[in-house]
Amino acid sequence: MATLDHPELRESLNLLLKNARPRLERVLRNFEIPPEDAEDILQDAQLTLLYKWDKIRSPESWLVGTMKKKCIMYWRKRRGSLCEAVDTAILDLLAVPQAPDQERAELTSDLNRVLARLSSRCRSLLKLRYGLGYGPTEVAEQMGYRTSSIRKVTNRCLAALTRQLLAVGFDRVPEGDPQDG
Amino acid sequence: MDRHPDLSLLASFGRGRLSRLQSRQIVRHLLARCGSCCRTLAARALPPLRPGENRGATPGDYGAAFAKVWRQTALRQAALAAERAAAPELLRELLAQPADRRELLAATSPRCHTWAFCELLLDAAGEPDLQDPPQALALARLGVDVAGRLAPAVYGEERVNDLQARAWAVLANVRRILGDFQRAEEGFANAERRLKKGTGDPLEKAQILLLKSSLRGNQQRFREAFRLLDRALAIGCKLADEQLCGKALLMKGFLRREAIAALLVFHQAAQMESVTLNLIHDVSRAARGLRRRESR
Repeated sequence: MATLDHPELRESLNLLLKNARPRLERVLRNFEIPPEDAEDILQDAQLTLLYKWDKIRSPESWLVGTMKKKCIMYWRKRRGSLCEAVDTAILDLLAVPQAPDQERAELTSDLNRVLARLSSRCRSLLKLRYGLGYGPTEVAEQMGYRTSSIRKVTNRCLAALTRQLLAVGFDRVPEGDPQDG
Repeated sequence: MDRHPDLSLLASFGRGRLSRLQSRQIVRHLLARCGSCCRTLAARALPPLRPGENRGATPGDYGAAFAKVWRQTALRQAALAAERAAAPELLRELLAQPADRRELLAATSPRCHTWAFCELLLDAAGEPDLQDPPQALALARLGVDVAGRLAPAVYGEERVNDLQARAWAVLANVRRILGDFQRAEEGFANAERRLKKGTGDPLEKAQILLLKSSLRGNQQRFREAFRLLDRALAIGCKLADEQLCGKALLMKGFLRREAIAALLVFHQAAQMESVTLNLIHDVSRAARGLRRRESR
């Protein structure tokens, strides 16, 4: 493939970006990327295409594939931030000194209700983390995991917890249960 | 928190941008099973379970984003074209210098610290018909050095990591050709480390897999070599890159010890629709070599 130094090939890049736009928009829409964040994803993919133009044989497939991958990465990063925020908040809530007994009992009961919907492995892990205040190394020792893999397992459990915490909005709530807080 | 948090607060929480106190209040509110807030937050902060699944999130208008990115790309395109126009002359200048001066010049002259110049060095070092391996080694070393000096603020940190990975892989490949398998192995390890911090471009990965499979072939570790080539082939198929598929098949042919099986693979490689003359030439040369080997 010839290089971008030639004006007609610069034109072909522009043409490709123009032609690929409907497919790219569809990818953004399918992945529900907020418009305010779409710019970063698009720019990153298009600049990478520009820099690697001479090496890419099938630019449109490459661009669409790259966009899909970047959208997946975008949500992975966002989910990571959310899980971290949920985790820190729960640890903080449990650590609040001298909380009234009733408040603390309600918190424990609400937390247990969410934990009850997780797999037994995640439930045990998070109970050690939240209930007994174990750190990652102690959790790994207690549950027989290697220290090197405990972070990954914990992250998966935190993701499951966050999904369950938010899933209540999509579930049919049993009669008599309060729907709104 | 008795009242529902407002939408902007929920949105900031979804991005992990709230203070710890505010996050605590929101999580307490969610734990109390506030259905409407959970719904709102899930639609904005969690990925769709399946792309295209409608969860009530407002469809976005991406027109402004496309327009802005178009302008940015045009600016970068002009800058890159200027870099590419200057690179060949710069390489000639550099090659006219004695070896020790070249390294100094490449390290100190900001004119050398461009994407286009680095790519040119790597392309020159990675020429398939390597006539002068010591020269290729010098160029590949310069390529690694220049790639390490590219400004992430200009080219993007992940893209720079990709190019550094490519540079290390090219250097490793030259070392393999020179028979220095130990340092070739180290070079590929460096390339893979950088690739992990890169853009995740599968094409970049496939090129490294192809080069590494040659090393495994030289080391007589054929099973690993075939596994690497199968991965490169899968990437080629996924990206509809027949050139890449052809190269992977060609390499498999080289590594096959049974002549018939190898010829079948070569035949398959040569049938790829968009193979270049170079690839066809490579295939026929490889087939001739194989026949010679068999007749001996």
